[in-house]
Amino acid sequence: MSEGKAKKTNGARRFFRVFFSRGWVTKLCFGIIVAFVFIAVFAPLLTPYTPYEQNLLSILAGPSGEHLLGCDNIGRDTLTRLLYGARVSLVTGLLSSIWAAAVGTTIGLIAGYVGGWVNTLVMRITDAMIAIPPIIFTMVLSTMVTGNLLGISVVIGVSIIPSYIRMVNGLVISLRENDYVTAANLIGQKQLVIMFRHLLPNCLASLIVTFTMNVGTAIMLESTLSYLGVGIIPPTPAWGVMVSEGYKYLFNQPLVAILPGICIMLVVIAFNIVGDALRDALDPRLRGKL
Amino acid sequence: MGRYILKRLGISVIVILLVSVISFTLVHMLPGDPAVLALGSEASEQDVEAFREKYYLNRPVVEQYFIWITDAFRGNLGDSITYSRPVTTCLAERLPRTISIGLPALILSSIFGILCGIVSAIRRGKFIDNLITFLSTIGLGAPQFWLGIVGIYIFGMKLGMLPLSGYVAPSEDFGQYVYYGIMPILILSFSLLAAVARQTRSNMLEVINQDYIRTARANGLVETSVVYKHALKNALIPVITTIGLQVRVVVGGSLMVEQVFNIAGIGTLIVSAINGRDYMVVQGCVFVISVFTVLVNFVIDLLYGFVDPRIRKSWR
Repeated sequence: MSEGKAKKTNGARRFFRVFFSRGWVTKLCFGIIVAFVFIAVFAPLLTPYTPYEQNLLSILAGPSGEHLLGCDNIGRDTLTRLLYGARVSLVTGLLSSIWAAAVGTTIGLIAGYVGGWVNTLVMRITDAMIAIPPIIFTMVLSTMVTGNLLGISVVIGVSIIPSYIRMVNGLVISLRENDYVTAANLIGQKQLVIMFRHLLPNCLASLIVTFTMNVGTAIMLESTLSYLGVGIIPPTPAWGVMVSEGYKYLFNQPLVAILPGICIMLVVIAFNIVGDALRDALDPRLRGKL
Repeated sequence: MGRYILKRLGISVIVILLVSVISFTLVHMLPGDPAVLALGSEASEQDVEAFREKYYLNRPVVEQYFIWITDAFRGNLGDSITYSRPVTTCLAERLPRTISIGLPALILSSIFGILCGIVSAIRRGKFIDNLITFLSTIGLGAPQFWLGIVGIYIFGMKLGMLPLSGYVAPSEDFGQYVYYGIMPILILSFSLLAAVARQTRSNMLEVINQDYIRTARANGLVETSVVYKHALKNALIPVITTIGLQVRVVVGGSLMVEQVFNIAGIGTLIVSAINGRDYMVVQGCVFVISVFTVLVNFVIDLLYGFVDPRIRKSWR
């Protein structure tokens, strides 16, 4: 992201100018994401405690010099658990979005390019998947993988696959009418080459935007599942788990339940707004379409 | 037009069939043997066999599906394993509670969401626009379960204005229903409102830049007439889709709200059924909810034609 790199090409310069021209809100949200990733990576270095360390003398303690944000019902440092919680959110958010993007894009691309009954079938299955509320869908699936970080990411990924299929499919159907596709066909390019070398790069702008927003959606879903007790299970410090544990002691120490919620909210909002800004910066024509 | 409706109906039926396959498969992927879970690990071999026979668990999966789906279309979703009552009875008991929270939330959020969106668009860049945008950003980003907990903390514990949890049916005592229901309803509508307001705002802004709005203004029409008669009519069409999509959000949202406020509705039924591996209930609930969503979208597709003559024309 250095200045020099931005000056290299006109396109990159335009990208950064538009991306950061949307005022302080976008900059702040970009900052939140950077801080979020930094905290997730360096969590152990930022705190003297571990997320599982209990101190029975400071059960439900309020903020103090020793424990900046107080402690929970078994005397674990809330700040430490929040910092480590960022790890869980980042890993599930990224893993699920990456694998959903890979699978969804491939299916959408092939179905859209091949067309015909294959496309109709794929789209109807997608419709059917979208008809089932995502939270119920993931809840049922997550009972098979309870507590397993990788498993939860896979499950959340499955529920966001339809969003990629729909987006890529719609794009490919209009893109394949372009002259360059006909030309590629005429010079005898292989179908797979046309799909992945010619059509895919044209979907990239939309993909990046959808991906960014889906990371937020995935983090939200993970915290919801964890809150309901079918996602990440205690004592792992996930934000959703912290809210659900802290809820029981809301009257004595509200910070334990309220702070993780603020973290979830900030991160989800940040990904949404950065996604918006990316959309404007990458391709202004996408406005209102994604 | 008749052909268009038939075609849409046909697609809806196909999607409903696919939904039934997905919800059936989904539930059969649940780990654990339902017979053992229901009867306990001490149960005798005969009891387990009888149980399997009763719920057709000893038949091939495909046959189980066909038994279930043919019964489902006759209005029989099978018997709940934990409650040993028909799933439809369980649903019928819980449904009014979910509706009494979800429907007011949907109505409130639609009305106020559209209003906020219009105000936001007209006063673009002013304080009120920024405030509405800020609130709707929070509404879309904050987890519903957390909003519920914050509401309980502020209004229940600190201010002591509202009860911490519980539910009274509107038919029993309307005053008490409002007293207990107001917080869950408002929290549910907050996240819904945000989506509607955002959609209305961006549509209004798009429409306001159209030529016909400029023509209306150039003809000397009063600004209120331009906004409410010419712009709003066109801006609201895509909002209908958003409201239709909200039905899904209401279902997911009431699940959270019911859980936080301890209301025995469909949401809590599903959660406890998933935890108790009650195959039939999970399957039935997922199916009924999804069919409902598909039907709502079908109605919305038709509504589109009624509000927009251009779309009606393309139906022929």
